[in-house]
Amino acid sequence: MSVVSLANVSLEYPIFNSGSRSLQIHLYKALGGHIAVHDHKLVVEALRDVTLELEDGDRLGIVGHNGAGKTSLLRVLSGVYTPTSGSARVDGAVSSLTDITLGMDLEANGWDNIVFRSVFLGLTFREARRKAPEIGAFTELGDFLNLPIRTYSAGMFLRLAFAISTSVNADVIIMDEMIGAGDASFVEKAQKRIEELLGTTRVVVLASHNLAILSQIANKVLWLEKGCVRMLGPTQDVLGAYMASVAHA
Amino acid sequence: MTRRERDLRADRTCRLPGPRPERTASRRLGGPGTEWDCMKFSEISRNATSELRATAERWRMIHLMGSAELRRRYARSRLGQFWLTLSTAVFVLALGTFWAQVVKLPLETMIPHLAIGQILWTFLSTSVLESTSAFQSYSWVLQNQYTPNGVVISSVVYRNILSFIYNSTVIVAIIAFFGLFSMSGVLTFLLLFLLTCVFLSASCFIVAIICVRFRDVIQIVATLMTALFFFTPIFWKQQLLPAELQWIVRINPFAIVIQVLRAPLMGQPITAADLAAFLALVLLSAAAAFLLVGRLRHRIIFWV
Repeated sequence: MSVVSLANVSLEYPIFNSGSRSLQIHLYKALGGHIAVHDHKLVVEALRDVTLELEDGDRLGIVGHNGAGKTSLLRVLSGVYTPTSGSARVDGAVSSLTDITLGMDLEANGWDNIVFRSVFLGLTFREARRKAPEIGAFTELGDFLNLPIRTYSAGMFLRLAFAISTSVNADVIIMDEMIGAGDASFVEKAQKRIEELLGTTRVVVLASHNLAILSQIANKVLWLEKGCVRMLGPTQDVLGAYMASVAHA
Repeated sequence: MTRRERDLRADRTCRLPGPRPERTASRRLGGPGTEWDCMKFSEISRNATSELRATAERWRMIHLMGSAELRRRYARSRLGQFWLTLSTAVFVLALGTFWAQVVKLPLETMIPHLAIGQILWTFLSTSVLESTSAFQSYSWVLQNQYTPNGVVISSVVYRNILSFIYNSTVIVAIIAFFGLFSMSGVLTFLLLFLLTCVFLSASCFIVAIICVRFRDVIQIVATLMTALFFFTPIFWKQQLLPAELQWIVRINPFAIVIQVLRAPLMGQPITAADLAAFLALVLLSAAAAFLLVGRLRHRIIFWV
């Protein structure tokens, strides 16, 4: 049975201007007043009729220009957005790694942040504390873990966030661009860890502009254009067609 | 959009959900039917209940988000939150003593009356005011992973309950000093406080939803709260109000809540009218929030 299944998913959301944001103007219009405000309620169709089935072991890459609906689709998959029509179903636990620092507290120290971030990823306090030593060791931050993370350099902070976020056990992992910890000495270690994580996860969905990474990881690629599925198929076919179209444009 | 187009649209979005997914571990992320015009009560109630359950399941997140402010205060100063409690204590004692002279009431009634009233008012009004921008200020979590809206509201209320617990040390000191302490009074208070939290969470949810959709309501609520303060018996007592103005206390929800919570702590009886109004408030706000949340739970994220 498929792990992720989207059937004819469409997503429309309203874009507000100052007029439609105002209760006063709404009331005034309801009372029959005329107001010289351009108040066309703008509805953006972020996704249209997207159908998608992902099974155990699938690694889906998503490509498309800015505004093609990549982020919207990721948000539908993670449950942030509910489709306006059609249905979306995901079996199992979803981890959305679109912001790997979510839940971290600058005033708290490294160890506490391991617990905080893990709880945001869905662990209990006890589970989080049990995992903390392994995560702490991986970061190689040593005694810095006893200091508030506001004292960390950007690289250290990212390294901690990365180590915690990649310790999750989820059935489905969703990423907007590949996550990593940029630090040169750390890059190889981080690479290995993310490969391990992606290897044990049932389904991975990755939206990216980096086609090299996609062709390494993905077995399927979805090409979105203006919210519609332009192409969905094996990685090389879709990436080839996508690159050809980019080159033409 | 013409009438016909709208009908067609409603028709499309109103399609009944297909066969229910198997019960196992599957999670329905959504489905058709989020339009206002075409939502059945059963669906609203299913939505609201599942929002409530999803919120309760995430109590750990609520605890972390709600206590962040408290941790921040303790990170920089050893007294942390107690600084605020200390300033509350100074404020209510100084003003209580002064005000008792102005209105010519004995200290032992004026100080507890003012202190309990003021601390409860801070608790209620800060919660409501913070909820006017709750969804906006927690957009970072709402947009990055599925988070029930209730988690945001609960965090706001929980944060204010924590502050209230700190401030209640002032109340405890004052009722002990004036010899007003009674076990039954405190127990009654705790029971009514729980109901107040229901009322407050429901009201905050409603306020937050309206304010995230209509941004000009944020200022309206702020103005309204300032005005309501003067219509709430904190610096004055209900008995001092002329008969033709008594209705002010009857229709002001904050006045009702404060009267009902304060009376048992001061060893006074709660009037039947106050209690009935209080229970009605709790029920009405809970019902209204239930309907609103059931209707709009999936729309809120688009307004953030």
